[in-house]
Amino acid sequence: MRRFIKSTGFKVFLAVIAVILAGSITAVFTNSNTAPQTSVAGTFFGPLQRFSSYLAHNVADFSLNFKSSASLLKEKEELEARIDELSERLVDYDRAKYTLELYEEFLGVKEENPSFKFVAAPVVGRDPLDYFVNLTLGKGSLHGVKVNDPVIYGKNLVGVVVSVMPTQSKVSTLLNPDFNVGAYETGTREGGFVTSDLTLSPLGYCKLPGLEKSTAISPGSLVVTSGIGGIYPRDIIIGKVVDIANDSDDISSYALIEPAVSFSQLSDVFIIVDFAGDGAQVSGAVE
Amino acid sequence: MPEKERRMANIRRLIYGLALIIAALIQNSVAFLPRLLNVKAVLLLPLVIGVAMQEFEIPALFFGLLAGLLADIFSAAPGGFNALLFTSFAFLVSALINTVMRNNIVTALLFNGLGLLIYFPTHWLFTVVLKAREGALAVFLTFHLPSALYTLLFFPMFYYFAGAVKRRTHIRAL
Repeated sequence: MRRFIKSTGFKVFLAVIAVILAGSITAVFTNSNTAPQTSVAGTFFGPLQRFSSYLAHNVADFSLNFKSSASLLKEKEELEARIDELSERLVDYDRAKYTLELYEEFLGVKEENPSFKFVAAPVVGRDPLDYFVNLTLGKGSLHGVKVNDPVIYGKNLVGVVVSVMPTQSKVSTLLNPDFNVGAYETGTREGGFVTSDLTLSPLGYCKLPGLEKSTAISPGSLVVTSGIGGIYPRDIIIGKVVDIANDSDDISSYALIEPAVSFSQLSDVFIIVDFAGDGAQVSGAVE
Repeated sequence: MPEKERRMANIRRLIYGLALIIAALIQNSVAFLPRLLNVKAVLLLPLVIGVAMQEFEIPALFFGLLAGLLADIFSAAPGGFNALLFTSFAFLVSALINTVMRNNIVTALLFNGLGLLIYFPTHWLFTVVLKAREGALAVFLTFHLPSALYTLLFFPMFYYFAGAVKRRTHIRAL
């Protein structure tokens, strides 16, 4: 044992562990919330992961066509070639249509909010062990992205940037219990904050707690950001109320909210890197 | 070390490095790895253990470090979590194989089992329990445990892969 402890291997091991720990401690005290060694790895690995993510999306798009081709093996070669060509065109068309729709929505948001500055970012990866559907985006500090920048898809809120690397950033979504956003219901203007918990998160829901028992909020009403706190712009859509339930901890009620975004299907989002009131304490006319 | 032996060792380590990068890409991509019972596998863990079983301590710990850094880029766990655990696993597995344990499939199963027993509960502790205690056990039973079992399915493949690469690139001194 003494020989093992005195071995070069053990000394190298301790040195590497010390460097990792130093990096982790540094991450706590920096604005990026990312360990330096992870930033370096992310910078080198980022382009590869973006390519892989692009490939993964295309593989998913092509799977149906691949199966179709397999079942048409007995057909004449000319027809197969024609089918393949048309299938490829169809995939290209679907992608172009999707991109067009995305940018049309983006344009609408931009016209309504001229103060917004956006960065378009692809979703390049997801942690396989993440229970709360957090995302990794292919844009980072080199593109002006900062911690606490809101992330949207169209007019809908996705989440907030929680850590930044030079070319990538991690986003905490609405389904994360750590996530809190000032919000109000558009019909009654009753407000509070939207968050999630361990029981609602896997079902794809979040909640607006602290409502009075006699709340006038009803299923189907819309919940949007209030802008209070200065992190999120006002009136970004969070989701739709699906139910009003009694809180088990106290005498209040909460509104069960279905987010407007389907997190598992996101492939591109927009990061709001600047807006009027960014970082300011906004006083909203919200109860 | 003779020139040819050194060259073969470099080729072997290049293959292991590439395998780790490909495993990380598959693991973190949205569509490549199919979900089983709505969970995904952590491919890097059995691969790191498989590689560490074929390498000496110092190369093994650097493979662990590489795998950990690749996992940390996408991980929801605190910064350096994967780098710390994977480096430690790789070093300890390699040290045990090179000193007191036999290198066979049963040992690989033992290492993978222990690795999963440490990795998944620790990950659960940092990413779930510290956020919300209520319902945390259910998350472990319905998410982390199936994910650990799914991950375990990959260990024979990675063990035999790392062993095959070692055999094909190993030159015995006469």
